[in-house]
Amino acid sequence: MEDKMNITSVYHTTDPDGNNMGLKAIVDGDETFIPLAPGNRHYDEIMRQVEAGTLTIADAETP
Amino acid sequence: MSTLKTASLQHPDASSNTIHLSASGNVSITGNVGIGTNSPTAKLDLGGNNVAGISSINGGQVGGRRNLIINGAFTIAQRSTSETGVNTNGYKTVDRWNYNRDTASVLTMSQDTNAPDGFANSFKILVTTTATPGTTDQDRIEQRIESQNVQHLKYGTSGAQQLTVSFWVKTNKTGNWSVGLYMDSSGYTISQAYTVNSADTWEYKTVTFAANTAQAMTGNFRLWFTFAAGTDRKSGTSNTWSTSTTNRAVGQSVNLLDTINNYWQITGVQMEVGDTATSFEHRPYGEELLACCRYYWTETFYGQGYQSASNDYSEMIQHPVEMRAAPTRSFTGSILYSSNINSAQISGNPGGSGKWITRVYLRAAGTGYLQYGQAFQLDAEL
Repeated sequence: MEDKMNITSVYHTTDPDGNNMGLKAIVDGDETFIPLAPGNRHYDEIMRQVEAGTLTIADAETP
Repeated sequence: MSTLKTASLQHPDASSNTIHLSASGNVSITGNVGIGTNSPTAKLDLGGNNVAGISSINGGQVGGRRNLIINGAFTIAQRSTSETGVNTNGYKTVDRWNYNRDTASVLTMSQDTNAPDGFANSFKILVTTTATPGTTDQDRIEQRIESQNVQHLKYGTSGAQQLTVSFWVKTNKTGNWSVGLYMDSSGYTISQAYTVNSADTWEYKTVTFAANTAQAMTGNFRLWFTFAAGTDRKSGTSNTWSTSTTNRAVGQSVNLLDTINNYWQITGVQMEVGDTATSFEHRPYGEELLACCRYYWTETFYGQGYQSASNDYSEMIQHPVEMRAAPTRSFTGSILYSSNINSAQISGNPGGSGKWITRVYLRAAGTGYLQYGQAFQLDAEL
């Protein structure tokens, strides 16, 4: 049973050295920072939507 | 030695038999039984003596925690004690309870202080915009349970256990409502009705679900309470495990959403092994809070230190318990105090330690001492 989340504006995030640290997204209207961790429900849903071709992840925002 | 052969025994002053003996060896007794006491006051009164040789109570463990539900008394509400204008899915107020909907209704959800004797809180849903559920709609409140916490149900085996759900409910809408279970891995679901007899009155309900001997518990588990459902979600068979979506809300005849100011309240939710509901298992506030923090934690973070180069400052936040998964992080409210900070970002630790520790990066220009404080939320819910 899929969760019904409204996820938009997904970006990679980086640490000050430019290392990929996770994802930044708007989830149900709230700005969130999501780890690259299977089992996290937001990460799992983003990956499901990416695989379904309904969502894309943008490059990291410039710090 | 002689043998008394009889099928029943009756006291001379009684009007009917009080002890019955069956050919299969069963003994049934009408009235109370006392051992070590001549005046039993309960069905079995041991008069203060010890009990030995007990291996199970109602098919479950003898002692310890019986309730599989976290925050069943709704004492924990870290996110908010009240939310108005609720028109999306998700966790809104009381911890661990997820709102899942299909209709276009709008609700107020709150942790309420109105509750039956013995409870301080309840969870309340108030309708502010009405809706009529479509054929495949189901609006519900549910708790999702980790698979590893319900393996003792032995689902998928011949020894699978029944589950009994008990709770207090109060609503202005009398009639039949539905409570159900769902297995995430297989899509198997089961539900049945409970009846609210009197409006605006706290009533205690118990429902026992059949064991699932066919499907193993390989994914998460859900207990849900439905308050509106369409035909294709409630036309199945009561108390029967099935993958049919018609089995999700069997017995739901009430539509809570049909009139503004309709309400439904619940507390004392307990789900336990066996076919008998026992008294609600009250837990200390701190213990219940820590159980909730495995899935969600909010706090205000304060940090200060010296930054030797731009964008080079970070802090670590130790979680109070190991979270279920590396959590999603968000901020609310304004920065409480700052120095030389032009923006702040929580980036966390995406590695294995993310379940225990969150790392905060502050994106500040220049060098010097930094001070920073802001409320944050960590979400590792199912």
